[in-house]
Amino acid sequence: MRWLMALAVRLYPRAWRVRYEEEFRALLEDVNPSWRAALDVLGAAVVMRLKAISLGRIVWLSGLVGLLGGFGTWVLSPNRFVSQAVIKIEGPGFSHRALSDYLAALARGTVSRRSLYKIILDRDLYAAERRREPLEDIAGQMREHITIKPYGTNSALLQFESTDQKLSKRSPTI
Amino acid sequence: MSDPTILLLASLADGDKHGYAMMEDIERFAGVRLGPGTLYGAITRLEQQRWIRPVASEDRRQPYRITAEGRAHLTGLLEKLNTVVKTGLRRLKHA
Repeated sequence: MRWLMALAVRLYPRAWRVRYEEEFRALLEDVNPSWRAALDVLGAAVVMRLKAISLGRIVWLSGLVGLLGGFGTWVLSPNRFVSQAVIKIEGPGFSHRALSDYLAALARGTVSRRSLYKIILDRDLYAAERRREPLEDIAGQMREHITIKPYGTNSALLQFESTDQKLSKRSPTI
Repeated sequence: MSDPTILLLASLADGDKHGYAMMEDIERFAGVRLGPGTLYGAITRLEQQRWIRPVASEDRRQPYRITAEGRAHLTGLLEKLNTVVKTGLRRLKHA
C-alpha cells in the first residue's frame, strides 16, 4: 500500500509539492500503510487538483462539457418525424360531450387491430418489418405511436410519430 | 467533532508538533484518526490563513506552531462550540 501512497503524492499540484512534498513523504513513512490511508491521500490529491482550477477554467470546462454532451445527444438521438392532422367538428348541437364521444369513437376506429392491419397493408407500411415480425406485433408498435387528443374546443388532433421519415409521411394522418 | 481545522489547532495549542505527532495527539484527545491527506490538506489551509506556521527543523518531519491569529480563531471556535454544548445539555435536562 505504501507504493500507492507514494504514487498518489505525484498527483498533487506541482506548486503544492514544491512546498510540502518532502515533509509529506516523511509523514507517509511514519503512518501504517492501509487502504484507508491510501484512499485518503488519493482523495486529498483530487480535492487539491479541483481547488487549483481557476473559476474561469471551471466555467470554460463546464461549457465545453455541456457542448460535447449536447452534440453527443444530438448525434445519438434518432430524428423524430411527426405527421399531424386536425379534424374540426361542426354541426348543430355540438358540445364538449360530443367531442369526447367523437374522440373515443375515433380512437376505437383508428387504433383497432383491424383498422391498423388495413392501413399497414393498404399503404404498404413497415414492409421490411413485416418480413420479420407478425403483423400483430407491428400493429402494436404502430398503436404506441398514434396520439388522438382534443385540440381546442371543437377539434381533434391525430398524430403519428416515427423515427422513419418515409413512414411518417405515409402514415394514416396524412 | 471531526472538523480538521479545530482538531489541528487544538492539537497545536499546547506546543509545536509535526504531522505524525498531530495525528497521534488528535486520536488520543478526540478519538478521530485523521488520514495523512486530510491532515496535510488542513495544514495547507491553516498555513494559508496564517493560523499556523512551520518551525525551523533539521528533521524531514516538519513541526508546526500555532500563531496568535490561530489562537484567536481557535478561541472563537471553541466559544461557539461551548455555547452549543451548554445549550444542548440544558435543553436535554429540561426535556
